[in-house]
Amino acid sequence: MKDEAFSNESIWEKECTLESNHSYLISSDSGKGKSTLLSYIYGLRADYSGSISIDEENQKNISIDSWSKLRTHKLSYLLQDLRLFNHLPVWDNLTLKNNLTNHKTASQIEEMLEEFGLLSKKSQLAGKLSLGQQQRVALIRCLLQPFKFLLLDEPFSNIDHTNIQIAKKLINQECKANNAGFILATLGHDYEFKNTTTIFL
Amino acid sequence: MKKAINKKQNIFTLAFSALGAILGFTLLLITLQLFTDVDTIFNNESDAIDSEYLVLKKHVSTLNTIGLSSNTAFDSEEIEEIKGQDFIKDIAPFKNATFEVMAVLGMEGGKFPTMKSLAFFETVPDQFIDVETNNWMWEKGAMQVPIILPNTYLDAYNFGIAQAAGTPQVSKGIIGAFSIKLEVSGNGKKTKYQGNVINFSDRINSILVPKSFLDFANLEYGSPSKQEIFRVIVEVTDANDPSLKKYIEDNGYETNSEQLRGGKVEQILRGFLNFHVLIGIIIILQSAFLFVLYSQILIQKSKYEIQLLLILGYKWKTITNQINKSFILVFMLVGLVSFLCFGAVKLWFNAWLLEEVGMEVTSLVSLNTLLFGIGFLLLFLFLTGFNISTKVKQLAKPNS
Repeated sequence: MKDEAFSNESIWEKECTLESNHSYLISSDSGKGKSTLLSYIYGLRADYSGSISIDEENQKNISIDSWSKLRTHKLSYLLQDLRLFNHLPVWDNLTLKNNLTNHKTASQIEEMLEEFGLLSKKSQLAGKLSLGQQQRVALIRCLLQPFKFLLLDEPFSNIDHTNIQIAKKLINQECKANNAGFILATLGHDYEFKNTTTIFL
Repeated sequence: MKKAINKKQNIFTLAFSALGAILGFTLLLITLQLFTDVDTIFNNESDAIDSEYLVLKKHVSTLNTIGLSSNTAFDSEEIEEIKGQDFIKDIAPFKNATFEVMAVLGMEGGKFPTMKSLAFFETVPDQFIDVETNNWMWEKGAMQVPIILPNTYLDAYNFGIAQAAGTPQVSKGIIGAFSIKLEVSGNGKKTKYQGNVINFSDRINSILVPKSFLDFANLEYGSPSKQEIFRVIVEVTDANDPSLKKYIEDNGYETNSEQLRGGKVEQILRGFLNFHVLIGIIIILQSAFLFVLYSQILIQKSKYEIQLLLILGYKWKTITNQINKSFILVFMLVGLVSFLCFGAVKLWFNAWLLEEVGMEVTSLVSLNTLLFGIGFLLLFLFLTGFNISTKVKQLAKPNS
């Protein structure tokens, strides 16, 4: 890890290494590229100069199939626009991910829903939920897999204080269980996470 | 995952594409099957009119008549050349008489007119004769000679002479009751023989006698050195073979064109069928194009869902297979319905053939038709499958 990268200056055009047993906050105003950086890391976009390596392998050399493996075993991503299947019930949205990874049991998933107070919404179409509820469903979904890094793009933007605490608890819990870290994009708020490094854009 | 993607299916477009495919398929299957049936029908007909045997002769022109052109006999080189052609199975010359024959036809009792005419004798090897040849032998010294007459002679009598002269018609059965007196003359000799008509031939339009008699009589009354070959009989593998027809024309030979007419009808019919196959293929390709287009629209409409599945970590192959599955189902349905439609039309056609034309085609579907049908279904699957996998793979690549 190169300290200079994590000064108060922008990280663009600098070199840095993110360790998976540590957590990071990407902090900037709107439009500085937080989401862009996360989608670069997750391999959704490749319109950058320079290079990004995952486990020493240059991202641009990673095959499509290997990306699928990375996305089920090492990287999990909560997108800012949530990306739920609006025409499917909450439960189907969650099992679509869990069927791929077999990471949690049905009762574990129900417990998570319960914690967020969403168990009663299990059979409701995702598109019919409020934005805050959708955000919580999307958060649960990205915890239904093993990971080394959890990429969170403004995960609490539509959630009230109580639910933020529940979300933080769940996130910390899962990171610990996976011996993993998160990279959380925020507009400046640190949400009182402990032991995180802030990256400025 | 099925639920995630299939929501975007447009039933109307899919049904429209499927209908086009069914139409094209049914048409193609019917046409392919007709090819096989036409083969069967024409081969049966060929047997009936003996078109596997043809009599070849050279064209007789006015120049021949006034003696200004080369003669119309075949030499041994020409016969060897004909024999060497692929479509010729066997060949034999007509051996002709070099002596004079006067035939007197009459019947005891005077009910029938007596006819007297100059005649000629020829002979061909037994295997070229199309009728029973019991008693087809002559031994030196015998005064009775077996004869095979052309069927046309009997027809000419029954429908021509008998009508004009008001005499009764005769059947083949009572022809044995006729006596044919033969006056054979030449080399200053003259002998009377008794001719026995043993049968009538459809194939050979000539008066046939056994070879032993002809050889003897040529020696006795004629001059064997004058013997030339003016006609040959050939056995062919397929009288409708266009290359046979071309060979005959190119060499200036003539044959019974009636027998080759079947070939022309068949050629015209095959032309029509080829045209039908072409239309069937065009319709099929168009519906294949529709399916490809439809799959593209489906992917375009499901872009969000497919991308989301890829983001969640689904493999592009898994997604492709899921989309393909629904198409396989549609294609199987198209195949099934097409075969059913085809079967119904075929049954109707078979019944029609039997009733109106009197031909029995028992086969419902040939192996060729089946294989072609399955082949085209696989082509459909391949085309759409390839298109789908290419598009999904494109979506799986990071935007750059």
